[in-house]
Amino acid sequence: MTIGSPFDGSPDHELGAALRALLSPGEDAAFAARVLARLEPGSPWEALAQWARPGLAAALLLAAALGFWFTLASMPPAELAGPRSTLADAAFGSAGTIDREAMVVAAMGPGR
Amino acid sequence: MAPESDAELLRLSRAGDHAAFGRLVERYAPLVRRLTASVLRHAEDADDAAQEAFLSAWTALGQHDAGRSFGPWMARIALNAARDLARRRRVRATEPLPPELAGQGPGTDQMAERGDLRRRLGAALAALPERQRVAVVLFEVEGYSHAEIGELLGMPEGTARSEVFHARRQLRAALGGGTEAPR
Repeated sequence: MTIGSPFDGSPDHELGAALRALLSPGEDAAFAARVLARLEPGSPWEALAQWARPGLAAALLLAAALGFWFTLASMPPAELAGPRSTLADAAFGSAGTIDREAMVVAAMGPGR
Repeated sequence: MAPESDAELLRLSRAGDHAAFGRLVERYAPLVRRLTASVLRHAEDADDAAQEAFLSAWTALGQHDAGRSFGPWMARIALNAARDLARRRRVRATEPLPPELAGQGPGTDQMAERGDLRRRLGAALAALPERQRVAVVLFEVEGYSHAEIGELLGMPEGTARSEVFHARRQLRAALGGGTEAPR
């Protein structure tokens, strides 16, 4: 067939057949089965999708816990003891003497 | 068993019937896979995009106008899926049509000639702009009219006609001079 005009609206069957052969990969039934497998409940894709969110949350929790543990493990013991906060700590100064005023404030609260 | 109409399969699919949708997939897989292949020019990417297109269609079945044909709606989804994948895999999309898309390699002289013809056609198709590739496939392979192609590709009918004309001229030249059919 000669293609002489853009207004020639009739298809070129031989060109169509050549293009069809070129572009058709075949095995359409197998392809359809692959698509359906992704729709079926219990398919690997669906299972992945179902597990994705809780899996991600668990991974984040685990990462946070590991990070916390690693931070604790890498701290010097002095820092682990933390600031003095007990009544005894407040009452006794660094020299081991009783600081009465601090003891009263610690026991009764400020403003009394 | 009488063949089921698209409308009946669509009705069942909308109700969640996977088997009915599977029959639609089988029916429209050739069209969708050819369109994605013509956009992407890569066999595996084309199949990936075709699968994504059907999965998108499954989730959007409620949006399909029951009064209109399923084919053009599905074709539009396929083109969108292919273009989306092409954007994500820009590098691959610039590669020429691979030999595996043209089927098995030649074994005899006749097959070698046929294989050579396919290679030339594949190269000529790959050299066309995307909208010409899609337009000529829709016209020559899928039997769409110029008006339908224009509507699908978002261009006037006259432009679609022109795109098909220029694409055909290039492809015919690649197949052997422009006037003789391939043997």
